[in-house]
Amino acid sequence: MNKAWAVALLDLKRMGRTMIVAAVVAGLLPTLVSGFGTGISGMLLFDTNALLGLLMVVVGVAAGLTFGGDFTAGRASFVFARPLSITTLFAGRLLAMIGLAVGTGGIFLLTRQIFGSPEQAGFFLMSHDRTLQLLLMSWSVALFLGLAVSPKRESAAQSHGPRSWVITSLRTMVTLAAFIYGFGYFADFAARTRSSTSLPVRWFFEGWIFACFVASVLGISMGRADFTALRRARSRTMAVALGLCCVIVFGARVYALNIRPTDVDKYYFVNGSRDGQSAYVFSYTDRRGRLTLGQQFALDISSGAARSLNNDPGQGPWQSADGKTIAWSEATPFFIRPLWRSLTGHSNLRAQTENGRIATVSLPRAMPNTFSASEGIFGPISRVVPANDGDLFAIHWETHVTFVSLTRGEISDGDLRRNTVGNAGSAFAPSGAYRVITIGERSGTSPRLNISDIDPASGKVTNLGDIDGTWARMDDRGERAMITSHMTGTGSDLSVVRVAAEGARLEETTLDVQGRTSTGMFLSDGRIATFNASEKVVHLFSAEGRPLMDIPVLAGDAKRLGSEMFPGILAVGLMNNGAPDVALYDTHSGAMVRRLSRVSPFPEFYSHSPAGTPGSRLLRGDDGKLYVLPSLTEQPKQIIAH
Amino acid sequence: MTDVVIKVDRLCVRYGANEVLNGVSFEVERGSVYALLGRNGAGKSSLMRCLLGLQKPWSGNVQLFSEDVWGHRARLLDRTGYVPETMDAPPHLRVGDVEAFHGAMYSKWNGSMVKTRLDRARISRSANLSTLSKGQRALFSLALALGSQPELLVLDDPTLGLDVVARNEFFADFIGDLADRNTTVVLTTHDLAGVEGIADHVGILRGTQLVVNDETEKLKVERGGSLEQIFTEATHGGELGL
Repeated sequence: MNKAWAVALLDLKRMGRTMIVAAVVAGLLPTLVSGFGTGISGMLLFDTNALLGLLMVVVGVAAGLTFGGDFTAGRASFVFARPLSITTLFAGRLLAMIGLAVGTGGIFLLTRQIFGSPEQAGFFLMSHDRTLQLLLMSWSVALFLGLAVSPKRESAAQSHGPRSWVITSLRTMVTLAAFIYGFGYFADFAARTRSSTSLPVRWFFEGWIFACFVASVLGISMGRADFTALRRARSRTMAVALGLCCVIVFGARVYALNIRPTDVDKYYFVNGSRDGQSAYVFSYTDRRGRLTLGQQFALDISSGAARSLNNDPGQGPWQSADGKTIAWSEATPFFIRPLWRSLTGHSNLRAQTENGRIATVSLPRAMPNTFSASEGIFGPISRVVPANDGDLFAIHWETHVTFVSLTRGEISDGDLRRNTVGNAGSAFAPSGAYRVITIGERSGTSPRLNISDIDPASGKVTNLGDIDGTWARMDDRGERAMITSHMTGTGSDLSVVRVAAEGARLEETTLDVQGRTSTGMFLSDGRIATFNASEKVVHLFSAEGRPLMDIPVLAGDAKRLGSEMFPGILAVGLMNNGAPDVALYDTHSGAMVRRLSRVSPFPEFYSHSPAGTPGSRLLRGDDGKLYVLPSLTEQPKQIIAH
Repeated sequence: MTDVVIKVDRLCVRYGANEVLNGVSFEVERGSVYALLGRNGAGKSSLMRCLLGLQKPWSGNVQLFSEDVWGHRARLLDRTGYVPETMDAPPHLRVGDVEAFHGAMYSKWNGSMVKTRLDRARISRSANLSTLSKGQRALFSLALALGSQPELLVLDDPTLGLDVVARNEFFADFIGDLADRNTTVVLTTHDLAGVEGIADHVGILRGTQLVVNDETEKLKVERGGSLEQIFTEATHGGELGL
């Protein structure tokens, strides 16, 4: 212990003065910065714990770099040519770091207490565990990096023959490939698992920091004053770590992404299919209680048979209006996708047609083959709309809509307005035109929506007109759109726009209601239902927007409009003493015809299934399980996916 | 039976494909002063590092006091003093700090002896290492090495860069200590004249081999001439018949 103290004392003497200065500066920083004005009072600089954490990182880095620097500066013999064991050497160095941390932390807090204003002066709230973790992590990384610097005195020149060149090149390529594989697959894994915690990311990076620590310890132990041996041991350890990383990441990815339907704990949302017989369900699976994973399945409602949809998060499935064709972005490893696409022209866009055949849909030729922050890691495609013929696909990317045929390849490309910031709705109209509602850039206080028709054959864009609005929902035939405008914190105004024919003037009818509505939907018979959660009332309108009836929702605390479960029977989600309930209302008489406890309807905007089909009668239990209501008189029946 | 302090057996040292020492073997008996000579890059420093357990041999074995030095370095170095080619202590420390560090390291530390030597060399304990002259640094290193009262003293070209006066001062100090105790000494140096009167054994490295390994006086008698002539002949490929 005496020797460890001697090592520690020497380190304290080497770094103590610098650390004291750093602690005093950090302690004075908030006071000095506050002189620049109140605008930055909320900055991190004023947070004692953040500053203290930063100071601990500085201490760790300084201690690690000093240790590593002794080897690269050729001073290793100072300790190794003395009767000092490696264990004692490390113990002494760590003791010094802890001593420096305690000293600098104390001086920092004291300085803040003396010179800071009362509101600036904080308390030492960081846990000891966290402090030690920060110190060790920063120390390990700094030591590793410190040892990575080329030494001033190399032991011997490296050979430069052709064999050495080949070996070095091969080694570099293998390392680079393993690095891309390990890190890339991890990024892919992290993006796809939709983990509820940051645990995998923490494990990954802490694992690498631990590898740095082990590599440094082994390097120093095996190399001592021979830097070549030190570097070799260090490199081999990191190579083993990289290999392990690849294996573990691959294993974790297989484990996490191969969720069977029977593993599912909870269903999050359900997208009823257009034919009403199946549903695309987004589920949560809890792996060992610490990691929640998301997975999407195509579920046959009557049998419970489920098939995993290997799609990118949020990238499908997109259904055609008749539900017979679906498209999705296949979840190939995204990190290699741009390179793979450049080399092979490979498309990861898939479509399943009526006969069950899965085909690859070509990607638009003009679409950039890169990632960008605005488009996300899964590429620039925002939506794909399959036509009912099962052959034509409208692919939305940036401001473009590209029409791609399975049999004829890319047909045309329509460029919408440059000031378009998003798509609110689109559909293939009976005329054959592709109708799109785009959201214009908000200039001033008047947000605008634009309705356009695009000719799939030529890509020609015909502007049908602009209307005030922030969001729109188009029906499956592109003939009507429900426009949300003047959105406020409490609700919004709704109107209906009818597009009679190509080139015709847009007919807008504001839905006249007391107060503001939360949401609205088209019913199967053409009528319109809107819902006002604060007033607890469902308003019914004719297809033209004429008020027909108000249905007060008297039971419980009304939350949301559900789907039209049976023709003319509308579900409203409620909360009753903290538990979810469903009330079913007859939209002709206004009477409540059924009340179901401990289940809630899925929001109406998720439902694409026609009224009366199983897909429109799905419910979520308060246990997170999926139920279907067989009839108006029977109890909900749980769907056991398999 | 002789008391062997150092036993180097078929030592090979490599850095990648670069072979520095190949099959070097020699022994040093207790009380001997062994001068290891060789041109720059001959592998003297590598051999020294192996002797002290600072570097693992590619193959072969190095023993100090009949024990493997790589495996028992910390214990064996308690009986060994080391004077590096250049001061290896971290810069910006005070003499007293480094002395205290060494005091804590060795079980037989003799602080008063170190103090006497520092006083003799006019080195203040409060002086910063960076303010010491080369000669003072060498003497300080020697004082530290001798302070541990070693049975074996290893000196890696300790007089490199010193002027004549400082060099004489160093050797005078060194010889004085040798006269006091039965210390075994291994040293590398380019100062052949300086060690001629001290070293009783000489080893000369050429290429990757130890081409000369014998008693100094015997070499002088058999080959005639000074140590410098023997060294020149050996390192330039002359046939010594050894």
